[in-house]
Amino acid sequence: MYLCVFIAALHSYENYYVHDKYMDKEFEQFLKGIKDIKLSQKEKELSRTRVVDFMKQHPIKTIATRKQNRARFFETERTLFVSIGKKHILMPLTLIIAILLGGSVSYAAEGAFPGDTLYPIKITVNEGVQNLLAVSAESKAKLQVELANERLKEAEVLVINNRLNAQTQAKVEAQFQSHAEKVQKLVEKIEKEEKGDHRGARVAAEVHANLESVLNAHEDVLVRIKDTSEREDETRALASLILNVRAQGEIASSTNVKFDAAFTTQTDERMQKGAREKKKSAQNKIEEVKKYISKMEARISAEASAQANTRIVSASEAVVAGDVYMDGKMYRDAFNSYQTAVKIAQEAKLIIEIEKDLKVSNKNKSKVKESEQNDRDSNGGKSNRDERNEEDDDRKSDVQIRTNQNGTTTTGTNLKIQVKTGTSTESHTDDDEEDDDKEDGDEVETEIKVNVGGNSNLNVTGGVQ
Amino acid sequence: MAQQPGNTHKKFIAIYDELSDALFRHCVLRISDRERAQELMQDTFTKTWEYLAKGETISNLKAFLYRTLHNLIIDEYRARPRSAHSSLEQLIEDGYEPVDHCGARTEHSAEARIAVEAIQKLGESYRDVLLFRYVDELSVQEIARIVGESENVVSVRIHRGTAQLRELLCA
Repeated sequence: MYLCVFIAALHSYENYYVHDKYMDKEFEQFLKGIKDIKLSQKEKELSRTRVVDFMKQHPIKTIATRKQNRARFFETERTLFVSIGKKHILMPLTLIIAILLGGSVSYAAEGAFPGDTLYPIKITVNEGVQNLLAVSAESKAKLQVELANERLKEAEVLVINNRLNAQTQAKVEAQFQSHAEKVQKLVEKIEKEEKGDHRGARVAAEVHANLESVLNAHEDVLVRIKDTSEREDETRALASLILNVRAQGEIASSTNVKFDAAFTTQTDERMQKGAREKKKSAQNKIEEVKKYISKMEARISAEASAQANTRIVSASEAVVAGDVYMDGKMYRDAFNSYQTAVKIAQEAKLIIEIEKDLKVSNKNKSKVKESEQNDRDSNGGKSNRDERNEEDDDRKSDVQIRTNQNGTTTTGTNLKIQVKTGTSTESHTDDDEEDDDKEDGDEVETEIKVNVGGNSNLNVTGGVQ
Repeated sequence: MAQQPGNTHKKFIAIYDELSDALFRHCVLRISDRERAQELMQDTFTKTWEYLAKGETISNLKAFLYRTLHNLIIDEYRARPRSAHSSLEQLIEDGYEPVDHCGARTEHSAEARIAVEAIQKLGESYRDVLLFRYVDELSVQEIARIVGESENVVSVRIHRGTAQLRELLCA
């Protein structure tokens, strides 16, 4: 066959240019043959059923269930190793007793607010553990955004419960600022990490956009709360917090400018594709938030609704602006426009969510006064806390906590962890710096302070109180 | 993907209907075990769903699925060293139900036989990229990310793999 001779001659010159034009007959037949390999109808349907069943067993997690899981995470699923050196010393019996109390303490701490006894545990233990578990810079950054969000939500709930004053606000604000700053640092890290296909820049931009949505949404809510506040100390506290939120917002938006430089080096084709994908995300997001708003309209205030709707309009406008850029082949600017659309739509959604959570907390506030602290048997308007505490009663409270010696990345995180042994562990008696908040000492008999430093440094102080 | 639960469900199932055959085919051409290939194809979807269920979003679902599958196949190689081209006949015969391919059956079998033989004679790295590129129709960038090589390396492999395939087909 002359064709074959021809081909043989060709590739003896290693001629790379012909590679994709090689759609000759043999090749087409080859492809045809290959594509005949597939599942039988029966097999395909069987697998389909299995996949669908799996999907039903693993529903998509919303933020509400995610909070539940965070607490559960800490308790039973992920055990972190406290392997301390090579020797093993039997733990005192009291430590074992501590376990029984340990689990429910951290679980209940999840719903704590500044000023509560358990709040320090929520901050140091629960969130400290989450930080250890997030290994990549990307997941750490996302976690920090979430935590910043959490601090602002706490502030809002405090206002509802008339508990926002200079002290509580200072606590919350300091934490919030530290999270926001961490996000900035991590984002820089992400950007540097993956230079290959600018994925790092894209991920960094997304995390950034997320942070900005959180900041902007909360800023609006806080301002609204402040305007309707009647107490002066509350107003002042809010004003300070709002300033901080705005400041972080400025930092976030000014850093964004840096990312544009990374995008200009992308080839047009790749950027065009990225822009098109972003547009789809933006459109999906807008749709989703629109539906969400109409679903929630009845349950929230008119102002929140109005704010959310104006944002949706802006988001749609941003998409239109992006389209104009696309037509002009300015793909980078199109991408940024679409990203902005996503961000604004997310803000709209957050505003509604925050409002909804606040209303629910408000309802619960009056109920708490009627019923006991532990009795969460409310009729309507269950908050996240309600659901969690109800589950808590059924849940067994044993906890095993061991901290991995090598896997951590943060330096000098102070964790207070209650430790269980069925096996034996040892304890140094290195004294760490005292932590201010020892209120939780009342709740448990034993606590151990762990300082996780550098690569594999793990100092554990054991104590019995 | 849209983050509303109902929407994502439907979309995901639609993607299954669209891509399950292709993923299965890719898998079976690499591990020559039909049953196992079906399982791995399933696992690809369930693992991807788990990722989505955590609340993550995926911008390129097709590439994500293929990457997941690719990793599963690699794990499979490690766990079970492959026996040579087993059940080549099985591969081809089982794919057909008499109902679907009545008359054209013999013809397709022959083509399929040649194709599968050829593909299995190629070196692994060539075979993989050729499958990704021509059978699964992924872009070079997507392939590069899936196999963890630079686009240049992938391009060169495709060129050389195609050349080698030509030889095999013409022989």
